[in-house]
Amino acid sequence: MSTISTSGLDEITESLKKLSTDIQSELIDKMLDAGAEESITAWKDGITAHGHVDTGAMRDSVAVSRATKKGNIREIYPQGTDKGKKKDRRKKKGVRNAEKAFILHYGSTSFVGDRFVDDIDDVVQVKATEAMEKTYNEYLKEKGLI
Amino acid sequence: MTLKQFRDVLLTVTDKVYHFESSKEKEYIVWGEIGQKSLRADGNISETGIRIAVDIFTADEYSELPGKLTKALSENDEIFLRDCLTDFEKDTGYIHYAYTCEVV
Repeated sequence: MSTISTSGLDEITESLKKLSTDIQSELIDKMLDAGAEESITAWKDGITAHGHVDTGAMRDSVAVSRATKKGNIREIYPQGTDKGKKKDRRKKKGVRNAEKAFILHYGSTSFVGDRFVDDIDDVVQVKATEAMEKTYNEYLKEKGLI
Repeated sequence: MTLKQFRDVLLTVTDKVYHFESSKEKEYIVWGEIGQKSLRADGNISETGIRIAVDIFTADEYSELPGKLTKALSENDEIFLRDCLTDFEKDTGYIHYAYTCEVV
């Protein structure tokens, strides 16, 4: 009976275990940032592709939320408001760009939402994962682990 | 499943079913196609599903309609219920139950 054995994988696992917590968190930040960058691009492309561009404020506001710029999570969605762009009563304080995206996605009593974020999610799942894998591999190469 | 068959599933829940256009009723369902999803095998499209948005708008705080609709959509093998979200529209006073599903 033939057997398969791997030694390289064990070495990588052991090497990763030896990485200090600081280096691990640095790597996680790099990977998440790479994924976030792809996600932002996908969001902007998706908003444009679905024709949800009027002033462009919502599209241009897509970014990582301030609270998640570091740590083990990145939240990406339209940020801020369109304050000052329009003069009607409701927009004195501005409408949150995230609210606009929500209504365009899910609709309201006046129209059926096109669920455009689902399409963005489909792209993000592929592109962000690829970017994170690439960053991880580059890191391992840089450290001579592969 | 054809779109008419899908509409008929919705009609088992209520007769107040509208395609794309909303209504002035106190409680109704509005639905509409929002795109297609294709399943590929060996580089070819083997099956194409239709993505459909289904929305319940109700002024009834404890409506039984969402429960009935969830059951009707979940029990049908040709309908995949992707997600459901509930929101309250302050402007109109309606509760909005937003479903997204795919049919093959």
